[in-house]
Amino acid sequence: MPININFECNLTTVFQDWPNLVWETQTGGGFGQALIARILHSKFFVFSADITRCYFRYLSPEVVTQWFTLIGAALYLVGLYFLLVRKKFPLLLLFLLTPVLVIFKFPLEFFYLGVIGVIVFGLVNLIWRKT
Amino acid sequence: MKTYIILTVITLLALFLRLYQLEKVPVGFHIDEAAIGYNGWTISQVGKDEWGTPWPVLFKSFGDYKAPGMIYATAISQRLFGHNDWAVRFPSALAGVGSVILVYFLTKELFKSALCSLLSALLLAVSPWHLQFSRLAFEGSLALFFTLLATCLFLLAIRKNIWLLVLSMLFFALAVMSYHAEKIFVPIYLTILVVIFWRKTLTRHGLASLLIGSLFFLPYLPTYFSPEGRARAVSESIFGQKEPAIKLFQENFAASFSLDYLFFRGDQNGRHSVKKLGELYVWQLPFVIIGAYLLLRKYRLPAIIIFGWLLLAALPPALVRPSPHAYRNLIAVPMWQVITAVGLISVWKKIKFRWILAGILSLVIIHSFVVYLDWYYTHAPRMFGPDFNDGYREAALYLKSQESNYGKIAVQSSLPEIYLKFYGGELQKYQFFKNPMKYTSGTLGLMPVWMVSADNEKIIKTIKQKSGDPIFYAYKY
Repeated sequence: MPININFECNLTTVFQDWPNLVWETQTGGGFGQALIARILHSKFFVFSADITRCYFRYLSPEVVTQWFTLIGAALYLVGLYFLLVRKKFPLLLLFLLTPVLVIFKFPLEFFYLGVIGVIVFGLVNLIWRKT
Repeated sequence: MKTYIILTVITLLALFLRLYQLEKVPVGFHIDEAAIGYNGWTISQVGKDEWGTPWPVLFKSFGDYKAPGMIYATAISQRLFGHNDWAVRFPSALAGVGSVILVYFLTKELFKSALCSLLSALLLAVSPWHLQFSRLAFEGSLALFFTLLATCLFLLAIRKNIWLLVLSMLFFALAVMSYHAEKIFVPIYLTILVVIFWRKTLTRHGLASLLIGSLFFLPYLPTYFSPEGRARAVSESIFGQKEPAIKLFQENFAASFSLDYLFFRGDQNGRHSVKKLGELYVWQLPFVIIGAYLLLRKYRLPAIIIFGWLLLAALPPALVRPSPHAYRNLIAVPMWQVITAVGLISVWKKIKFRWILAGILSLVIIHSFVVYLDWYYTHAPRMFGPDFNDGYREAALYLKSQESNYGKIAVQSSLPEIYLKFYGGELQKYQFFKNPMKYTSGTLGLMPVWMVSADNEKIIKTIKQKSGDPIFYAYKY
């Protein structure tokens, strides 16, 4: 298990996890073949995988569900879909940047404001489509 | 012709990946595999389960009442290949290979595209999620195979001959009989299919074939309502917990779509994944997003079937704990591959410098696959041996080899009796105990390492796991 078991994810936690993950993947708990392991599990891959994981963890439906219930998560996905369909790329980009802010230790509220925005967008578009 | 040659190559790859070192990796032999194997063996020999019940519809086993499909499949396999670990795991592996072929035909029915179908089959062939469970004698792989077969036949019935619905229903029934999670998935999914294709299914012939086909469910129907049939679900249910069921349901349901679980870390049970990689490859993530978007925009009917499938696949793990649960959610795996294939093909068609993309992507895909194989064959057997009861097989085989030398063998209950049953121990010689007891001199004892000091002079054998950690000591009283 990585050290960061609570999945609190920002730059600090990623850097904290890094040595542990590198050690773990390169040694396989002390039993790997060092050379092969170092080629397959290079520091670059481990770091980029962990930072990507950290970013997408915020966008994940189960995180949204914890705050906004399953209905909120469904509307969140609908909102993302309509952002793409309606080609609101600047808005979409803005939302996709919010997890980056959190990774750089800005308050989590930035991200949740973004999610609320997407949910409202999804809801409005659903209603608008019907009428 | 060319398509079928490629499909054959993919099938051979799937076969190799599922059969290579099948008896050795996953390391150890899990207690459920031993139970399925032993019940299969007794069925193949005398037509009764380990409790003496003839041809059961549910297998009592440890009191968890296992679905019968896999046990009967292992009975056939053991009849053909003998009573051994390989024969117990073989039906699951074979079903895994069958699923790869069926995904080809299912995708072909949905999209009429050979490229998309081949790609879906290839992705399933190398899927870590699917490989993990195709190499274990668990029920899920077989249930997935039957569900795919039933769906293919259903779509074929709609397109060609409505009477094929009878056959489709037979395989849906077999899917339900193979794994408990299908008891929830199949009825709802079948209803959705019937409604979607109501113009064909609700005709005179359609209804007649559905009615005839539903007869196949009858032998298993009582298990929906009997305490035995519900035993497993009740024991792990979200109902009656401290937290409200609705909250747990929502969290569990969403967990099956967690990006962390799907693409980065997988199920955190060592039996269900290698734990350090996702259930799907990371590189699939952008293509899943693109594929999902395109499905919604362009392919309405396949979208309903695929997303309906994925949502329903999240229901069984949502109703029990813990979640995400890659095994209970296994039914979802082919659809993630189909979505990836749709995404990949659309990118391929639109991009300008496609051969550069192909080169880069090939490197990424090969790297991910090799990393996975390295985890699966090198690291996981040593790191997650306890998840597979590593060392139990060796302990049982050692005790069996010593039976002629000792009048009595005392076994601490850390080694479940089912292992001695499976490996053919003379059970009348064994006595199982929980706490240390005094035995007459000359008795052979088997104890977990925490019960005996490692420097005890009476230890005559140390049973080790693949990692080198000792797990049992054989002890001479």
